[in-house]
Parts: sequence; structure tokens; C-alpha cells
Amino acid sequence: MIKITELEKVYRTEEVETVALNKLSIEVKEGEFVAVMGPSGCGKSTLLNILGLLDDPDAGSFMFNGIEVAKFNERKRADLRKHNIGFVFQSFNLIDELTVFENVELPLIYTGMKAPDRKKRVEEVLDKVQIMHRRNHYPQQLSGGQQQRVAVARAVVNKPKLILADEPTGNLDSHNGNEVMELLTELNEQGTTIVMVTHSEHDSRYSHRIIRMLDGQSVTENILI
Amino acid sequence: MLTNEAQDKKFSENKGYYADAASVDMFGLHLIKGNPHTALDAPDKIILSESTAKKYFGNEDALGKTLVNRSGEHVQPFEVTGVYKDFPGNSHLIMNYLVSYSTLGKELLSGGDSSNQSETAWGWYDFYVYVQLKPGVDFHQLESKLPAFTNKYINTEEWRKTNNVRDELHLIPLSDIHLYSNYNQEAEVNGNGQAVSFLFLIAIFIICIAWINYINLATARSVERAKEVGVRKVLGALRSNLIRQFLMESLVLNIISLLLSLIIFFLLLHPFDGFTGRDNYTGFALTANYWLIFFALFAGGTLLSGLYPAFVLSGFKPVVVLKGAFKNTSSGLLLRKSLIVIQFVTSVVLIAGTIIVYQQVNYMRNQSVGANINQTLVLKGPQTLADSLYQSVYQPFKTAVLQQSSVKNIAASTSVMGDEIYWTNGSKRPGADQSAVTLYNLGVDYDFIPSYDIKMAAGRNFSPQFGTDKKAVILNENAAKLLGFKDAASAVNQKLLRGGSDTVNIVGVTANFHQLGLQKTIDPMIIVPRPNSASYYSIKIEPGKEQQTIASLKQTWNRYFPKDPFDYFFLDESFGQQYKADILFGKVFGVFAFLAILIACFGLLGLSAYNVLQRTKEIGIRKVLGASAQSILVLLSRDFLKLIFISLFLAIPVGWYIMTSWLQDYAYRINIGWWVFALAGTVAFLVAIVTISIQVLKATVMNPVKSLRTE
Repeated sequence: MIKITELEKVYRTEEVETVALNKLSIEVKEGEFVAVMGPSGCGKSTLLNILGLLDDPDAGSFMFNGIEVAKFNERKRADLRKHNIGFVFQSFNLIDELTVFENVELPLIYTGMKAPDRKKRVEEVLDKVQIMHRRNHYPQQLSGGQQQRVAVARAVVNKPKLILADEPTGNLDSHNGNEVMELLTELNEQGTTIVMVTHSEHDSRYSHRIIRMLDGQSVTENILI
Repeated sequence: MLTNEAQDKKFSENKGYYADAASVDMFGLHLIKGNPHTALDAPDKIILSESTAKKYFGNEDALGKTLVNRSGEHVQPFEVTGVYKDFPGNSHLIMNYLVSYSTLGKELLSGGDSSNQSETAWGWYDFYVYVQLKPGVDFHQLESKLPAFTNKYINTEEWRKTNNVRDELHLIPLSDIHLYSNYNQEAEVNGNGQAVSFLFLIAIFIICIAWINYINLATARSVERAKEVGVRKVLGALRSNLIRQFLMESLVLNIISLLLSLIIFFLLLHPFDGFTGRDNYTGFALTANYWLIFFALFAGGTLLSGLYPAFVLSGFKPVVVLKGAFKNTSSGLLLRKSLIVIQFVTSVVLIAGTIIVYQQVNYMRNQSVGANINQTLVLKGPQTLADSLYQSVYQPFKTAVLQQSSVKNIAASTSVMGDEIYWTNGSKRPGADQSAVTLYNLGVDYDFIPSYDIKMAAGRNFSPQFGTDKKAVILNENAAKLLGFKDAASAVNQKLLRGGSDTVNIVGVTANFHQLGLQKTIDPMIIVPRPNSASYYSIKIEPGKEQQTIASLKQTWNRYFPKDPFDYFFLDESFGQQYKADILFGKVFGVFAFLAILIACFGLLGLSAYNVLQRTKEIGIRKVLGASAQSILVLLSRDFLKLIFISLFLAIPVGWYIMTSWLQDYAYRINIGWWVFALAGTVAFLVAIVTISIQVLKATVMNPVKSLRTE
């Protein structure tokens, strides 16, 4: 599903040049659950942003479902993104001014789904993450675990083929963290490909494969199953 | 008219007064030459302003020299006993020269008035009496004693009742004359106090908006500065240190704007004088009061605009802001929104107001006067000619003028259009059960009405063929109506009691024409035959031949009236002068409208920047979820555009009310069209959209990754 080859990304300020990705090559197959680990600054988040089509690489190739997307323009990327990729963030990134229901509904609005269809779909997903009873609450009224479940619901509401998770349990206690990890596992078992960046060895054990990164390069790969 | 006969320098003068000896002291005249105590203490003494002295005597010393006043056959020499510094141009009383008051008494005595009315008459209304009160005295107190004074010295109450006469004396503070006095025969054209207060209010409003904008923007920036405050507090800063810091920042900003405003002020001073068509009035800028207000504004502005942000910013809790969870509260949001609305209501009202003022001025200038005032050169008539000789000089002059091919005709009259008429008297129909109505008199020769193309509504013009025309009069339609005639035709050949005793025949009624500008209603007029009218000669000339005609007219003039100055003006220009103040008002209004919308846009710019900043994360999330640039644009502009729309709808009634009351001052006025507000609204709306877009576009193209990174 994902094949990146010799990918490079360099951040430049006036005086400093930081190599975030240094000729990185990895492949993720459809239906896989991959964990990306490594110390701060090793390029994990940059990788995730490029995989999520939020950022573009300076050099190298990025094949998504067999199509070269590294040179896609903003509009094409946005289009590909909203139909194929869901995001889960460490800090949830819910919009405070919108209710749980409205937050989850948002991606569907942007794909142009009709209101009755949207309602049905949102309720389905909210049910799945067991947050239906909180549908009219605002994010600030929920616990961290509940907020992240809403974020997961929002990530999957479009039935994306790929979920990118950036430290999904980073802001949660272990109980809530486990709940979210189990939810992701469940989604993976239903066929969704997941790439997750994490610092947690515990969480990484939920995945099939661990990619360890250092200084913008993949150093080892542990296959867990 | 005064003449320096030694050098044959003569000018017609109308800015001179009889004044008693006390006036030198009271007006604070600064005598460069002469003795202030004796300058006006005896008959036939004259003191001149510096520029008047220069006009007649050049660089010679005027003191002790003679100026001659000629009026008809009357020749009166004055001795120059002083020269005073010119009054500033913004005085309510322009005095080019003063003649000792006792001169008037001497003239009246020699004219056979043994009672010397200059010291005894109360009924002469062309005198200005100045009363200097002791310090601390309330003039209202004195005014309340004047009715008793009137009863004792002027006329008793019973006499007034039986003769249907009103005698009232009023006081007006000197400083109020220019803006608030509105009597007949003011010394100078007065300003409009209402307009001044109006402009003053707008100026105050603009500076308040600027202050509040500063507060708004400073607090809006608090999100950015919260972290700084947190770090400073962790490092040991007390709240008072921070308040001082933020106040200092505000002070520095205010000092910079103060310096900028001073530079701009002095740079614009001369262009502004040109813009308003006035003399250089820099004098006011240097009074102590002016600087006091200036610095009070500065200090007040610094404190007011600095204090609120200083307190808000210094109150942040370091733990909260350093965690990065800090977010500005929504309190104060309503205040900011209301401010935007108020700013835009003001802008729309001012834009619409500017359009309406221009429309009204255009309307007045383009509307027909009811008489043809184009291509009309007006000569001020000779004053030195004796009545008995008048026709024998005027007729050959007239013939000579008419011989010039570029001259179409010439007419004489006591007044011309644009000239306020003071010659009035009461008239009534004989036997009619009505009180006398006041009619405004215009004396004309036989050529006046045809020369000006004034239409006759009924009857005929005066004619030398009718021997009876000495007792004939012509009314205008308003006078006929006021006298109770059912239409113009029914007034013709009727009798009229003019001024109480003089029975005259109405031979015609003219269509109404505008003696004055369209601000004024058309007064009821009575036109009387005065073939000897010598005040003005109206000469109709061919277009394109003005300069050569003036040159040859001057030659002819000097041949027939060698003792009188050749003094002329073009009637359309002088008539147009009546709209000068309105045109000026329109210009200033336009400048204010521009300033208001500019400042409103600064506020809007700041607030939309703030809004974008607040919603950066939201925009990021939405973009990650697939929002298009357009949808973000709509999302961010929607709230502001709503506010602008609210402003438009508020501006319509406010603007309509204000401008309708402004138009009440005009007897002839436009109707306010709905499109004026549509246009003003569209302008404000477009400017607002452009302003908002600057910020919003930045936000839409921003990479969402940046806003979402929290580690």
C-alpha cells in the first residue's frame, strides 16, 4: 500500500540545516499494523506527515496504492487525503467549539456526503467507539480517553484505508491508553492499515512490526508476528 | 469711498466703522503710529489698519495725512491719527479703518438734525454695541435688567402695545458671535456652530476608535505575549514590573504617534489652508489652551490605551501559559464585535453623508435661479455723483457702453442676485383687514427685468411710456400670494399701501426668482422703479470677450466717473460664493469619511488577525480533514461579514436621520435616494472584504502541520 524509496526531507532555517529524513526507504502492506519508534528528533513525525500527505518530501519516491504522490499539488493531496487517510493525534485535536457529533461529522461534510447519510454514518461510528451517549457534549466535557475515542471515531468515519496515529496514548493514563489501543487493533482486524508513531514499548506490542528510526534513517525492523 | 487726493488713489470701502474713543482700548488695537488716547477723540479723525495705510500711502508715513470721503456732492476730509496692526483674519469684525464717532454727530448736525440722533436714536439697527463687563459678571444678569432699561429710556410698554412695536435688547458673548449669532446685518458672514460641533464630535470619535483599536489589538496580541509574561514571572517579575513594562510600551508608541502627528500637522497646515480656501490661521495653534488640550489628549490616550492591556497581560498565570494550554477567553468578544459595528456604522454614515452633501451642493448650483446671471459683469455704481446730475452723466455713459459690440445690454439696480436685501417695509392692500406684511424692496431701472430674463407671471414691466409708472410697482409671486391675491393675474392693476401711506399700483407680477442661494427661501419682493439707482450696473456681455470688454469698459468708466474707482465682479461667480461654505463642508466631510473608514479597517485588520490566530489550530484540523481553501475563507470571513451587514442596516436609519436634519437648513433640497446608502454600504463592504482577506488568505495557505505540532 505504501512504498517510499530514498525519501529525503531537510528543514532549513537561516543558519541551521536539519536533516529530518535521510534517504529513508520503507514499505507498508495493506492490512498491516506498523509501529514507528525512535528518540525525539529522529524524524518519526516528519515521516508521518509525509505519509499523511500533509507535507511533501524534498527528494525520493512515495507510492500510495501504486500511484506516485510525491509531486502531487495541494489540491490533489487534499483530495487523496480526505478519502483515504484518517488521523489520530496525541493531543486529540478536536475542535472545542463543536460537539462530539459535529466533530465526527466534519470529514463527511468535506467529502460532500448528504446530511441523512452523514447522521447514520456518524451514529454508527460513535456506537462502535462507545461514545454515543456523549454525542451532544463538547470535547472539554469529556475525559482524555473519551476525547481520544472521539478522535478515533472521526479518523475512521470516512472508512479510510490507512490510519496514521501520532502517539495516540501519549496524553492518556494506562487504562484509557489500553482502551484506545484495543480500538485500533479492532479496526486493524477489520482491514484498516495502521501506521503509529509511539514512544511506548507497551503500545508497540499491539503492532505487527516495529520500525526503529535514528537520525532520519530506519535502523532495525522487528517483526512481532 | 476714500481718496488720497495727493496721489489720486481711490478705493471703495465697506469695512470701515464709526467708532468711539473707547474702542481702541476695548478691541485691543495695537497702534503702531499715533496716540491711542487721542486717536478718535474728536471729529474728522481716522485710524487705518496697517494694510489700509499701505494701500493709500505706500511706504510713506500716513500719520497726519488726509483721506477724503466723497458721497454725492458731499466731500469730507479726515485726518489720519493712527495706524494699527491688522486684525487676524479670523476676527468676527473686519475693520480696515475707524472714523471717530463724533464725526457722525457733526455730520448729522450739519445736515440739520439738531437733536443729533447719533447720541439719542434707539431705532437705528446698523450699529454694533460692545459692552465690556467687569470680570466675573454673568451677562445673563445684566440682560435680565435690560427690559426695564428699555421701558425707561426707549419706549414705554403702553406705547409699544398701541403701536404694535417690539423693542428688545439682547447680549451675545463676543466669543459666540462667529458661530452662534444669527441676526440681520451681521458684520461678517458667520460660521455654522452646528457644523463645527459636528466635525468636532467626529474628530473625538475617530480618536476614541483609535484608542479602542489599540486596546483591542494589544489584548488580542496577548496570546502571543502570554508566554513572555510566563517566563518573566518565573524569572521573578512582579505584576507591577509587568504593568510598568506594558505602560512604557504604550508610552513609547504614543510618543512616536505624537511626533508623527506633529510632523503631519505642520506639513499639512499650508495645503489645508489652500484646501479650505482660507488665510493662514496658524495663530490658533500656538495658544496655551491649544497645547494644553493637545497634551491632555496625549496623556489621556497613553493611560487609557495602555492600562487595560497592561492589567490583562500582567495577570496571566505562568503555570497555565507555559504549559501552552493558554487560550484567550471569549469575554470582551462582544465588546470587540460592537466596536466593529459602531466603526462601520460611522463609516457608512459618513460616506453616505459625503455623497448627500455633494448632491445637495450640485443641486443648488445647477438649479435655475429664475433669472439669467451668466455672462453678467456687475459694476459698483459711482458714489460721488450728485442726484441732480445723475441722469445727465449716466445716460451718455450707458450709450457709450452699449456702443461696444460685445455688450448686449446694461441695467441699473439697488441690488443684484446674491446680495442680501435690507431695504424692507410693511405693505398691505387698502381696506383689507390684514396686518402689513414685510416686503423686500428692489429698485430697478426699465432694463433690469428684460436684461435678466426674469419672467413676468402677469402684467408688464415698467416703461418710460407710462407717465404714471412713478407710482407703479411689480411684485414677485410670493409677495402677491402673501398679500392674499388668489393668483398673479388678479394682483395686476390693484392698489397697494406701501410703507403705510404711499398708495401704489401693481402693474405686474414676476415669476419667483432666487435673490439669494437655494439655502434660503424666496422672500416676498416688491420691485420699485428707480431709474436713478446707482448701486449696481449689470452688463451682459458676449462669451469669450470678457477681458477686452473689461478693458474698454474701464476706459469709458474713467471718462464719465473719474472720481470713482472701477470696481467689478462677475455675477455667476459672486452668486456661487454663497455655496462656498457648503462645498467646504462637503470636502471636510469627505476627508473625515476617509479617515473613519481607514481606522475602522485597521481595527478590522487587527481583529481578523486575532481571530485567525485564535483559530489556527482549528483551521489546521479542518485542513487535515479535507477542508478546501474556499470553505476556510468562508468560515473565517462569515462572522465579520455578518457584523458588516448589521452595520449597514443600522447605518441606514442613523444616516437618514442625520442627513435629513442637515438638509432642513436648505429651503431647496434634494430627496435622499436609497441608492446613496446602497453605494456607501457597497464601498464599506468591499473595503472590509479586502481587509479581512489579507489575514484569512494567509491562514488558508498555511501548512496545517505547523499549527498542529504540540510537542
